Amino acid sequence: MTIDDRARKAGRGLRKAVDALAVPPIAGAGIVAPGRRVPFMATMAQAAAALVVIVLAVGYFSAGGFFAPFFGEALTPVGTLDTTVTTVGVVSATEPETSTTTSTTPVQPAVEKPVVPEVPRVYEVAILGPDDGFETEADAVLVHGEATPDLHVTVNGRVAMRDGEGHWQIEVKLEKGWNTIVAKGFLGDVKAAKAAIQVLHEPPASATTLPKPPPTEYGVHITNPADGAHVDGGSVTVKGEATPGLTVKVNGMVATWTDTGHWKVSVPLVPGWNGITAKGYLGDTKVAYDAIEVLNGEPQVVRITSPADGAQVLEGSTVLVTGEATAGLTVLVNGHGVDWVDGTHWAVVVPLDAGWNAIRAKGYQGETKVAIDTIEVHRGEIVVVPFTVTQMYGSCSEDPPYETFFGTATPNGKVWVQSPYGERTVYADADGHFEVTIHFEGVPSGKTFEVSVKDYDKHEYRYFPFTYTG
Amino acid sequence: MNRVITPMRAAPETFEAFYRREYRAIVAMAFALCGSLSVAEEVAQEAFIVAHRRWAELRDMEIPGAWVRRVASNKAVSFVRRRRAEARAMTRLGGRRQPVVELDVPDREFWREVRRLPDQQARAIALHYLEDRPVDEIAEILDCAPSTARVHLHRGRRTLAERLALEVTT
Repeated sequence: MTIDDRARKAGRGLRKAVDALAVPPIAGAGIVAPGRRVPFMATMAQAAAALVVIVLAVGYFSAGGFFAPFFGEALTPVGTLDTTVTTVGVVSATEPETSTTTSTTPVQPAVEKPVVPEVPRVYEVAILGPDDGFETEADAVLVHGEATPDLHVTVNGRVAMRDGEGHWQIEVKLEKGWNTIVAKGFLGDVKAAKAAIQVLHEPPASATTLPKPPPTEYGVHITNPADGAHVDGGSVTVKGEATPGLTVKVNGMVATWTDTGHWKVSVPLVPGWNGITAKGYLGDTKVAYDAIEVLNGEPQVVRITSPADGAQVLEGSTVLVTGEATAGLTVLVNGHGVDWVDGTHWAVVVPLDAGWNAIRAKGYQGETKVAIDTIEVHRGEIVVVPFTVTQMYGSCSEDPPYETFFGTATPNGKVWVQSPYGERTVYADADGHFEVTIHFEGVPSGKTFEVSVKDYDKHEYRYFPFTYTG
Repeated sequence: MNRVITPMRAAPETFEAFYRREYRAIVAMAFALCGSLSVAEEVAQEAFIVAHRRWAELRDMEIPGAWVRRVASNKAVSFVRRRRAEARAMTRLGGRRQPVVELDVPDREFWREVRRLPDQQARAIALHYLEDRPVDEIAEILDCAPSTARVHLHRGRRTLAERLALEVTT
């Protein structure tokens, strides 16, 4: 059986199983949680009676969030009562926003307008190349991938070059044997996403060859705690599975086997996020790897609510920054202390330089930074400079040959020149002008190849041919 | 980047009709990603509540279903990462009899392996094999380029084939 056949069968099976589910009724806003299904009101009189109850109940529910009894913290943004999201079948299910009941009722809730829930922000880092398990004789490999655009990416601790759309790449040096390549995405200083692959480097001249297990032949998998779990305490018991015969080390400590294929070990934790890495060794050779992160303590939040990321400040040299934070945190915005509007909302005026300014709100618990949010705003109007590139023609015959390009790109933006025989990055000046000379190393005589010039901010490329005639 | 998605249904329609049409599919996708029917139902309903509050905007979109899938898959994956919603759901549900999805053993094993995949691969596999969605639509829902969605799908498929000892299809 092929994976396609099996997957389609599993898809059909799940569809069929779910088809047997009843669709919960809608009540006003109106979807009711499993086990909390509320019938529609039979009559308008019932609806009016319910409305009285609702008005009396506003104080109670607005404190805890109306949906809190149904959905817990997951819906706390929905919190306060909303006439279009009224309750218990008062509003028509088929016309939720044009209910005559709500339009004729005297309810003018004094409660604040509810915050519209946003699509949860999910941060991702993906390694698109090379493939996991890739084998190469070269001692370096170009790793590239995608990440959520507002993340910056490090690969094995080095910052990867990226463009404005979240594409990134970096060359990674390889050691002989299996190499773990870990790409991490950071939002400010906070790690938000991660991806990892393994690459095998076997030098061609090597007389001695390492054992060459395919990555899937041996496995290490952390089963507990879950990645991203919240824990409390000075340590956590990490459990997992591994191919029998391997030595499993978790954060450097050797795990003990509990039974065939299962291991556990106690790992000490520090407050905040902790990386837990399980490595499987066959002799001295690392052959398998798994990693998770756990949060020791409750998550702390700092969020900038205004201005919007990418906003332009057309007048003045300051901007009023407002936001919210977990109660009890100390918040600094670009080093400035904030004024608290209430226990969780703050505001501060931040001076701006001309051009793009990063505004970072950092939350501290004592002296420990526990949360961060970052936006960028532009002081002054954003001038759009078109991306133009002219090939000046350097030398096709010198050794090494070189080429010069000049033109215009995003002011102060990055311009990246790349070829199979070298690359170079320069920055355009404040008016958008740039000039770059690149030398091509190791080009075979007579070789014609392509040189690309990229405006990083616009994600635009220009391509030029080059022939080495030396 | 020009991304195209086939409209799933002519808009506008009423929220109720949209909800009744899409509810089970969203639950199925959430179940594929989180493995718990009670959580999948909750995830679906949370997603529909968000959709309801923004229905005035969504109903004019050609792709409200894709939007809800993105919300639901984010929530489902978030659940898998955090495992917190399960605890809340279990606490709230108390002694109520837990709903189950009647799947045969191979199918259950398949979806369990899907949940072990990296998030985007799991989403791509669920959307492709559960909903028969083409790569362009998967890319739209995952908010990535079609080429990236294709890579996620390919890698997910390859890993599943290895783990389930099946032939890889190309």
